[in-house]
Amino acid sequence: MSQNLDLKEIERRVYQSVFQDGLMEIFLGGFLLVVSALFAISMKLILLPSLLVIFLGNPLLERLKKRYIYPRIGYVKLRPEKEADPKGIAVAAIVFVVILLGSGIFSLTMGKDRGWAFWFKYFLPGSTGFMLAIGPFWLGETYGVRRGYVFAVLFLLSGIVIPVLGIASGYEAIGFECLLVGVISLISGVVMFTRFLRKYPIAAEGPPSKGAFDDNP
Amino acid sequence: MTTPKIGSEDLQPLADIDRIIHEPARLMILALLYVVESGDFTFLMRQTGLTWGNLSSHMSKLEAAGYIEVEKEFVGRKPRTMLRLTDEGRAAFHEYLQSMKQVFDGLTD
Repeated sequence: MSQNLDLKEIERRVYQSVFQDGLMEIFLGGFLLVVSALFAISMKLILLPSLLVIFLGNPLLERLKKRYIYPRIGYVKLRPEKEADPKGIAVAAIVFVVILLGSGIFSLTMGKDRGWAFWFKYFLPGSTGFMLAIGPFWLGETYGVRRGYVFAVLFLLSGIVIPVLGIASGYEAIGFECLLVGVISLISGVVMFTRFLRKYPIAAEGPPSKGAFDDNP
Repeated sequence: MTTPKIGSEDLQPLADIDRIIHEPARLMILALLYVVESGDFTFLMRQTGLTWGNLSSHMSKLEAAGYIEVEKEFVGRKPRTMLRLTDEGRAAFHEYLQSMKQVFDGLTD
């Protein structure tokens, strides 16, 4: 019996069940679409929704989970070492800044004006795509959520392809990135959420008879 | 072809196996709680496929053995029963895995 007890596989299945509802994709998609709209209007407006997501995103997501998710598949608290590590986030931010600076220095070798134009057109959207890919990639690595890798690749590729194909450059390209990944994320999230609601009816709220768990058979 | 001789020493870990853990449903429950911090009743029910009554029965035995601890709380007006492995339960499960591994590694195909 225990010969086939693969704890890693059990862990992976638990994590997949936690992330199967699609709510995260809906949130991400909605946020990215708002950001892409604001990129088109004014860069200065982007700060507000970003702050709202940072401070209110998690409480709102938790509230939705309490109402729609936990009554269906239950509540699980994952091990602390699997949660987001602030040091890891800080390292990722530092890496992003280093890439931006490094690409800036490289672009300067082409001359000030040409270098700036090159950096703005190609490196800015590419670096942003890389930064946006870190979160989904971490999700895939930590929890085995394969969709994380898909979104990471989408972010990376869109950051490169959009300026290279001449669709947009600079801040406009970032707006397009957010629009493209936002639409995909929102649609996939809604599909997942709908399937989830159909697959899991609300479970019984308590034991069939009062004190059933307290009895020792 | 000669069959390797398996003496009583090789099978002793099997004789000493923890019978509280060595039951399919309870093994599933402990394996699930081993990989998470804690989980509520509905989570365990969904993951194991056990009925409420069946799960409740096994939980009672595990709690009586000191392997799990139960925390009943209210989220709004809804009751939630959270379960987690105790330190003793975690150690016992780990020891069980080691024992079983030792037995199976010692056997030839």
